Amino acid sequence: MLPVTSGEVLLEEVTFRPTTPRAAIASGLCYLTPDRQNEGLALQQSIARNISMATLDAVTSAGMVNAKAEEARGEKMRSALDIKARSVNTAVSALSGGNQQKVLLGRWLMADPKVLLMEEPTRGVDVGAKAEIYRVINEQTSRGVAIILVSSDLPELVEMSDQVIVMREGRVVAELAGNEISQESVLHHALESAAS
Amino acid sequence: MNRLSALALQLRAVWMLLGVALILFIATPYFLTSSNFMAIALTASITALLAIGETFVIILGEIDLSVGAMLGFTAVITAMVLPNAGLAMGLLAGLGAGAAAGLINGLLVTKVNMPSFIATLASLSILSGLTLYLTKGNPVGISSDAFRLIGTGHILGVPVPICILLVCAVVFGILLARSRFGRQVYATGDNFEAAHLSGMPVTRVKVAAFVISGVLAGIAGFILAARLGTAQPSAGKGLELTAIAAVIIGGTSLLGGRGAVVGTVIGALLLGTIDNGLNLLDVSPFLQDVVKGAVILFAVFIDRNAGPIRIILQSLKRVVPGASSLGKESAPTR
Repeated sequence: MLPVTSGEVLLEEVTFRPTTPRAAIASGLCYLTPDRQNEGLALQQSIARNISMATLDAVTSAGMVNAKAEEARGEKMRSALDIKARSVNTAVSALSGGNQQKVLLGRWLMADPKVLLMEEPTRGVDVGAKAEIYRVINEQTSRGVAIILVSSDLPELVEMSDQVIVMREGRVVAELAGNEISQESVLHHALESAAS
Repeated sequence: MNRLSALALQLRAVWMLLGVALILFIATPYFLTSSNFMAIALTASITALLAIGETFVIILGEIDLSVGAMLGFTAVITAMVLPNAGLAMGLLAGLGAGAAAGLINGLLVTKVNMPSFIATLASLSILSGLTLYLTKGNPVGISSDAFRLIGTGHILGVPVPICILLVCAVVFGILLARSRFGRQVYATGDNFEAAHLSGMPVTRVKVAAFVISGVLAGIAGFILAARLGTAQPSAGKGLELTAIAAVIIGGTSLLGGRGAVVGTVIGALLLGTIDNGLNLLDVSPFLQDVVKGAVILFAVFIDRNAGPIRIILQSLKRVVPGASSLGKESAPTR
């Protein structure tokens, strides 16, 4: 991660500058990594344990984890996201890419985010899981969760976004909203300097 | 990896232990006596304590080569503090020395970003050198009778060292399998970056594991000193390898993210039994290390070829309905 050099982030109109992932999660910003194998999942651990990784405190009392509660929460997320597995005690390594991604998404939904920053959420995911992830994104936005979607999948961006910010060489070059959002317009702004 | 194969790994050490015991039972009449079992457990209790601490470190994907040296160091510290400051202070000094050594290991690994292999190899050298310097190479005698009871006394007929091992195995077993800290150990060992991004205090978890390793080395240190009546400066020499072997035989993965305290304790008992049996059978002490090496290879070989065992277990599960709930109990990591 790069250090902050300028600008500021406002979360609910308050300056927001988390220094650790823990602080960010606590104030409601969750980050879905594009690299679930290396930065996302603890592959040898169970589905339930992966889902509770960011919210262990909620199932902990006096330092001890209530395994029953942890499994029940995992079970809830499994049916909510339609994660296909024999049980929530199945190791995540045994799941397909799409189901692994849903487990990771489940971890962040568990944390009840205000802002969910998702990077390439449907990379390497089958069609069924992709549709499921889009459904969850829409469900979350209708609940008032802000989703920041970073994606190289142009149809996905155009289809899902209310507002698109195009960046080129580290700078914002266009802000598109409503009818302005189309594959052509996004591409146009993204490639503008390359063409001129 | 599912529950069943995790169970297979835990059970592997049990099968090997039973197999070795059976061979020894047939081979020598001296094996199956309660005094011999006590002797095995007493010897194994030292390595088991070191190996329990090592289990935390190895599940985190790190290694602690300094446990043997920490044992010698803490034993000597306890023996030197004891005559002047009394029993409680002596024990505290030993535990404190172990904790401090573990803390330094942990900080070297996390803050200085040194590979644990290198950091603890250096600690091994520094601590054993320091121990020899403090004692000028001579054993430190212990006269306190109260202290010696830790090594030679009995509680309800069970030798105190074995009681201490049982308490530590239960406490640290529960800590690993059921506490939030335990969850953090597994997650961090499985995928450091993922644990960090999930808000887990990964640095603190690693440091704590090394401190646990140091404290348990301290406990093992004063037990050994109390049993022998002297603190030998070179007492822990080579014990780190036996401890690591016990952890591996017990089914803990060197790659991190997987393992349990139960397996480790059984692994230590297995190594102790093999040692004992080779002595009973009058095998040359020089050959004993050869046999131990072969056992480690065999254990890891089964680890890589867990498939056949899994098939046996699955058919077992069909025959014995309770086998699946058994798996739940003995493999809390899945």
